[in-house]
Amino acid sequence: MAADTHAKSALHNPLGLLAELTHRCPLGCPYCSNPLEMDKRETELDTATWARVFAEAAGLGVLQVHLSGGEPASRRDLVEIMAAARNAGLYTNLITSGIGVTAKRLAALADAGLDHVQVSIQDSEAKSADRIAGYDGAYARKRALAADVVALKLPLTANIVIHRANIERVDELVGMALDMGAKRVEIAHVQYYGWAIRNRAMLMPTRDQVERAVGRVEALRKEHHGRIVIDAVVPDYYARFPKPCVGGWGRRSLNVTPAGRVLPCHAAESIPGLEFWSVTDHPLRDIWERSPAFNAFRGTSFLPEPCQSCERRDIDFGGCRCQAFALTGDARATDPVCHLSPHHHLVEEQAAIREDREYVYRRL
Amino acid sequence: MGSCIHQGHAGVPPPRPSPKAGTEKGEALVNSPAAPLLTLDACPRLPRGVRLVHNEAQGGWVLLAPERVFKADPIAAEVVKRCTGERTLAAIVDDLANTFGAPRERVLADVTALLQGLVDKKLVEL
Repeated sequence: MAADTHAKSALHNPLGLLAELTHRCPLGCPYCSNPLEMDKRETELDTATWARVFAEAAGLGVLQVHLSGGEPASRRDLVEIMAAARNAGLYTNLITSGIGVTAKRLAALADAGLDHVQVSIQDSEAKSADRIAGYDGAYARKRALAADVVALKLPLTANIVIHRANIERVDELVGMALDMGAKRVEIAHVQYYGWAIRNRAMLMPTRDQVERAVGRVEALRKEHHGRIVIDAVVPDYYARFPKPCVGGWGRRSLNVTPAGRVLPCHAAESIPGLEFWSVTDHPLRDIWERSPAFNAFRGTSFLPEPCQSCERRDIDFGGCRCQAFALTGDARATDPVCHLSPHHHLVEEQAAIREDREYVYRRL
Repeated sequence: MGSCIHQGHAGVPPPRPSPKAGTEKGEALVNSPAAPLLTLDACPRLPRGVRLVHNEAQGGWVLLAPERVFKADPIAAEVVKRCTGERTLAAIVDDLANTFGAPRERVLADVTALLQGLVDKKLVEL
């Protein structure tokens, strides 16, 4: 009972919800964060169910919804879904590859109150960008969409994932984002989950490359201060400390899969043995407060040493559970990205493996 | 009132470090060519993509922006609500001083500090 009361008082309200509307996507990016086992079209939630989920999310304290996928525009009812989120009072962020978002559709989204657009772009050189995306003409379509977004005066973020094929072009990538009219750019080092683990040896940069890229981001941030916000996602495998993944398990955000399963983070299904509840069976509040998967790693009491007595325990929560499992086979372990982890050598060993083979493209 | 906005972080995909604390004042003045200064005849407004909403479960008013969430205390919310782009800073200050029965000079100083901070963060446009 005492433990229950404690758990209850420590429970936060989630701030953000990642709505994976579909796993369908025309692109085949080799670092896709979708799971290897994807939800089929016929299992996708319908419009009305998404509307109910958004209303329940707002009641739970969620402020922002990230409409993602797959490619969210693969859903014919994208405008209705977005409008339902907006009507629930949520801040709506469309995370898109740009493919399938025509000027007409974008205008309809803007009219219905879309707040922000984030477009992914694979490189600053068209040929390389299309090769990474596994889709001819992707680069040109993304640039066209970005121009439409800016013409509608919607705020635009460019999301650029960097890895061995484009990491030398940080200056050009930020220059491209400025040229697109983005107010914000994310320079995101590949995070190794799902498809990215499959392609790890083809994506992995060298330590020298990472250090140069980090230095350039710092310099560009100063140079363009006031013009564009540059956010960086850290290169895990070369970090000293792990990231506080999703701000702590079941603490700040939740993720709903195309079929309605609710996950603490988009990779959580990679951890075997977790019991996820679905929005088709339970109200969102019950799932957040009581579902076994959300309570599996809440707080820090499950953490072993060296985390338990570490001064960073409540800063990074021992890092990422999915990464701990992927590299050590134990989801409770200290994230081996941490230099204090007894398994840190596993990260160093993986970072040293580089192969120049064709990517394994992500396909449904 | 200058410190009435607290930054949270709504970041969902992908995980990223919290945004850096503000640059030191002297540096920001030199390096912010895009951040205009607030004058009495400026008409502050929220740009598209920034919205003030009330959420009971989060305990009050919040200012929402791309990938960012700022909690606003009741006073900050009263100021931001009046940033419609149709009223000058002078008119907003008069209104607040009347509504809350506070000395106008004090209100002007507080509101200017608050709004200039929001302008620098691109949460308010002039």
